[in-house]
Amino acid sequence: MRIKSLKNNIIIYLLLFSIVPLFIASTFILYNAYNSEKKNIFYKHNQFLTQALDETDTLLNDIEDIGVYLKDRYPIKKHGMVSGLLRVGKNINTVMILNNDGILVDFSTSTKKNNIFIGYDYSNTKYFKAIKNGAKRHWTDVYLSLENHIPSISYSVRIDKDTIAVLIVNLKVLDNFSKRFKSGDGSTMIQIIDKNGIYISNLQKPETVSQRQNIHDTDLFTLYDIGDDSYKQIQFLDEDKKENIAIFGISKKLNWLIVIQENYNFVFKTYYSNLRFIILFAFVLISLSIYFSFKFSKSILRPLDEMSEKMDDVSTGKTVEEIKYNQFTELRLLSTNFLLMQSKLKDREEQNRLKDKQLHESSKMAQMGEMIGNIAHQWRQPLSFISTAASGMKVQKEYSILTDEKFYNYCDQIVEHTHFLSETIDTFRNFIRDNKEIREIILQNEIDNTLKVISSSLSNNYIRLLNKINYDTEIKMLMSMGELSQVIINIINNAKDILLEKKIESPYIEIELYTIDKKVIIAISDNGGGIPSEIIEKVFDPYFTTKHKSQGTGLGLHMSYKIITESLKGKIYVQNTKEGAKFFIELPLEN
Amino acid sequence: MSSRLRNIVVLCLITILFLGCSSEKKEELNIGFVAGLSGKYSSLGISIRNGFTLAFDEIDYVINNKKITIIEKDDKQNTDDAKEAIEYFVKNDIKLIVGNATSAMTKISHSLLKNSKDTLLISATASSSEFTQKKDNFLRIQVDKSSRSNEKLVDYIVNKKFKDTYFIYDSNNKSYVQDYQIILQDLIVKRGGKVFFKNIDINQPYEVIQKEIQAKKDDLIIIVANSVDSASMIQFLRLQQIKSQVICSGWAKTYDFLENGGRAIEGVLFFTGYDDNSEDLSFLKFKKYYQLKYNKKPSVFAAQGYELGKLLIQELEKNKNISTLKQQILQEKVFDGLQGRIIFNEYGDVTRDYFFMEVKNGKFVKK
Repeated sequence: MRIKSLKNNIIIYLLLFSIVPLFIASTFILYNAYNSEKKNIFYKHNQFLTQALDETDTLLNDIEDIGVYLKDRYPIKKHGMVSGLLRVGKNINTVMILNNDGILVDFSTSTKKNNIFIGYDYSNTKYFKAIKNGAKRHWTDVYLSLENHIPSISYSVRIDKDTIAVLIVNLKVLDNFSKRFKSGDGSTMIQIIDKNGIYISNLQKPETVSQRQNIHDTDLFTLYDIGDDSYKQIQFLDEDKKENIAIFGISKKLNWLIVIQENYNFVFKTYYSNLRFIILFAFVLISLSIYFSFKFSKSILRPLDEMSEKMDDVSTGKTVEEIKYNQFTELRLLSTNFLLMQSKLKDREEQNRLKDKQLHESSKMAQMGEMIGNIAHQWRQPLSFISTAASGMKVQKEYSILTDEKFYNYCDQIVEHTHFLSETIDTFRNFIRDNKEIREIILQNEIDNTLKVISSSLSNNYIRLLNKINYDTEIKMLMSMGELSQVIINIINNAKDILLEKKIESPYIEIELYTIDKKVIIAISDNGGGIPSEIIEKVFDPYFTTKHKSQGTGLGLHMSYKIITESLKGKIYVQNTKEGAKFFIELPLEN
Repeated sequence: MSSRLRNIVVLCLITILFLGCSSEKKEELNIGFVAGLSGKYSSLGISIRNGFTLAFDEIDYVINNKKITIIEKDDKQNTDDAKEAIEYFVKNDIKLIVGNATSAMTKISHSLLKNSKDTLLISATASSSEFTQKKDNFLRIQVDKSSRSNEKLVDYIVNKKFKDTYFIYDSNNKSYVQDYQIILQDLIVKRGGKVFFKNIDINQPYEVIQKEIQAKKDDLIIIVANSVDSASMIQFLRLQQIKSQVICSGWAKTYDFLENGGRAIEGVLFFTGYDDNSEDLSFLKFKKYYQLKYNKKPSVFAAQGYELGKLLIQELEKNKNISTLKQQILQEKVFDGLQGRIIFNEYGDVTRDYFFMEVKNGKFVKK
């Protein structure tokens, strides 16, 4: 499981739960407002488009009506009628009457510069050829008019079998019509493009018409080319790379493309101004929520921080008296429980300390008992000899057989044995006195001294002590030998107890001393059958014992473990051999 | 900072960085295009523009991942508008300018740009000999009106032994007109022909022109004007029962001429380097694309515009540096055109075979 910071988690969740809903709500509002604005624009554009398509067709129908009128009246009224038509039909720039060979027989034009004449041959023009080839009426694409040198369209119609009328339409008519469709920014909203993609009305960019520009080279063409998108809202970049929002439709009469468009930035001006306000408002709200999130999290985390600090104090052994900032019930309960727990821990610690002290005392007493037992063993023989010598002298004196020589001999032996007793006392006294004193020692000698203390206890129980200490090189160390001796004696006593308990035949305890890889190894083994595998891991645990309560405290090996690992910075461990258990004490040679 | 907080911050930074990078603009190359695009001169300019833009249409306006934008300006065959267009291009740091359509307008642009050595002016149709044999920042794919290119025309005029030659010209395109007036006339005279009998400006009222022209059938009329004016003038001349042979300059050789000329233009001759009925595969392919896009037949000027567009695309793919573009083109020297090869000399002048075309049954036919 990944460890997380409660503090960071609380802050993240507070921020998430305050910012995300606000963000989602703002986005939702803005998205809906945008869509609603787009729909409104679409409805407006759609209304304009329908009107524009109707009016365009009406305009073209009006011109066709003039053709019908000519058809009815021209054969009767002739030229006077043609010039009159221009005064009435403002949409028409020039009226030409061609004969069946395409020769101009009559005309009237509003063009100031007169460069057409009766007799001109128009037989190669599209408008003549179409009628000549059988069409009853014909609308041309945009072309450069010979009459006025501007882009024009014309409508030709057969009047009778010998006569064809050509009406040249002034594209300015479309401009006049387009002027009515204005956007709020004053721009004209309408563009009219013929079926070949040539602009025929674009007041915003009149040069597109005068230069007969083609929408093939514009962004709009891609949309126009799709065709199916008519009456759908589209967005495109115009020639000035400005974004436009538009819809387009195709007029029925001449398949003209009529685009109703407005500058995107202008129509969404109000929306974007509201957007800025909403974003600012959301920003303020988010800032406030961040501020309050931090403040709230701080108010929660401050007592937690304090409690964490107090726990740190407790872990370093300090005592916590009180915890402040507990305005929250749950935290107050937590801190009260914490203080209660601290108090209980202190009590338990005190109890354990007392128990440890008692156990230590018991251990010490047991050690003392052991020591006294050893002294008793040491003393028994010399005391017996002194007693026998004294009794022998007394009996021989009574029977007057005590010679001077015998007397001196007895006295010398008594003195010798009392010296031995005195030495024994010195040995034990030194052993107890040097218990914690750190000094330079020769390890072999010191272990020998330790073994002396315990040797008689072993021999009295017929346990052989096999000394396999390597005396070749003196091992000098700076250490408290008393602590090490205590460990060695402890292990040997445990071995002795097992050997006796199991009544092992030919019992022995073997001690080895050698160095390996800058380490000193003291190995103590026995032939007591070893430690059961299920408890071998626990032998160094405190209060663990296999002995009867009256015999063992369960502290001996634990104390030994603490001395070796903590005081002498070494290692102690046990393994089973074929014969029995083998304890290893590893000490760093630097010691 | 916990790892989660750190991750969020890193994610935000990466997102910002990504957005920053993705909003980086694509590199652009703006090409200026200037020609007469409105009024009676627009037939030529619009044809060139349509052909030129068609070439870029085919590559979706992208060369070497660079977006190409063509900025069009209309010189209206007017000095002020031509100057304004060039000043606009200079101001907007546009280094590659295609134009103008007529020699008179090209002369204005050429003189305005003579000190802008890093700008290249390249024309599809300007043919005036004023630009011939000059080491400058100008290039064209049109053959100049030099003595050599006029040889066949002079041969024809001299051999036909026309009595008088009426020279009708458009004073708005003097640079072009002068080549006919001076070079052609000199050549004719040198070969034993006569000096032009009358020089008449087509921009005068027709009533004035009517008084000036008294041509007979054995006279020659040379018209150097745009297609609309030339067609109208020929119609007018025929109405006046003037049956003289008419030779028009290549300037008028558009479909507007055919449409507006009716039967009056039958037999009119053009001395040109382009055949409208060429069966050259690349020309037929171009014609097909042009008709698909514009729904009409391309004039030879549209073909020249397209050739120029293709040449520029081919060279811009190899070279980003406009200032060395002319040098590069001259080094390569030979390019495939729509009707044979375009061969540049060391000055950037082009050689091409010239031939006569005649209007027959409302069509241009190679003679």
